[in-house]
Amino acid sequence: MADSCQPYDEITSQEFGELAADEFSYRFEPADEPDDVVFTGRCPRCRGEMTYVWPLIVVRRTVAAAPPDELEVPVICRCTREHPGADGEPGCGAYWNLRVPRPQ
Amino acid sequence: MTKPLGGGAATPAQRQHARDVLAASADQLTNVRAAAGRWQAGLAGLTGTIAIFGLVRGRDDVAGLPGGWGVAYGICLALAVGFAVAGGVLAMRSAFGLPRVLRTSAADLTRWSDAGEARRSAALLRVAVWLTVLSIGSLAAALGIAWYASSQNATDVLVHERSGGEDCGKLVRLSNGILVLDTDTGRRRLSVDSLDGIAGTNSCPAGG
Repeated sequence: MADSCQPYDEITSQEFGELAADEFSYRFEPADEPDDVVFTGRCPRCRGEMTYVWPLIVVRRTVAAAPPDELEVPVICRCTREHPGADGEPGCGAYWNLRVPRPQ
Repeated sequence: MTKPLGGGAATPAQRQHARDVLAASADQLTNVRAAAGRWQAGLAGLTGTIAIFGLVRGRDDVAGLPGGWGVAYGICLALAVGFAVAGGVLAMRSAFGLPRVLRTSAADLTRWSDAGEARRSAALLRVAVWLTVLSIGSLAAALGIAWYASSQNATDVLVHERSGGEDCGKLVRLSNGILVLDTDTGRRRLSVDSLDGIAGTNSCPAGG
């Protein structure tokens, strides 16, 4: 499939999201009173392994309102592979959404 | 670890939002510390400036307050000092943090992450601001009590007559050698030549 030689490109697709939903896993940290939701898996475009920490709250900024029962998290590839044209940006440029239940 | 509920394409706006959130998350502790440092200096300056006005009133002035007013003044002043000290400590805690010994377990490190510390600092700073407001309010109340109680005393005078008698009441006027007092028993006109002494008093004795 894809490899690390892919040039940096900020693209998204339904397939990225569906493949990531199939392959990624997530956990809330800390489990009792979560500050973050942590995703781990392989980027659906470049196949680089990545960990993506999405803060549920940040000081001075709040995460956009989400549906009552679900949280839609925009995920950006944060793999550590080299991608031509990245110009200092981490990852291959691919991005997609993942949906997780809101922490209790 | 759990599988997500689903996934799909994201929009460029969502990508930008993600970048903004990640950047804010990375910088939040530094930003909060910097803001708290400036707040801490501002709160200290504000409290100090107002406290000077409180100290201008000397102990003698306060000692002259009637009993109940003196107690109220003392309580307000004690609250002002207590709120100011608590607010200052919390503002410093927010600005400078507190070294903490942590086990190297992932759970401890996660619990005391920079993100968590930024949120605690922001919350403590808000408490510090409110404590400073309460401190200033208490100090203003103390000053108000001191001024109001003192003004109440200003016209009460106790006069001693050469004959040995005493009169006490509110000063109406002093003109042409005649002192006019409003006493509980009516208006009194006294010749200054007949007086042995005059003194201010917090409250006239009964029947004065």
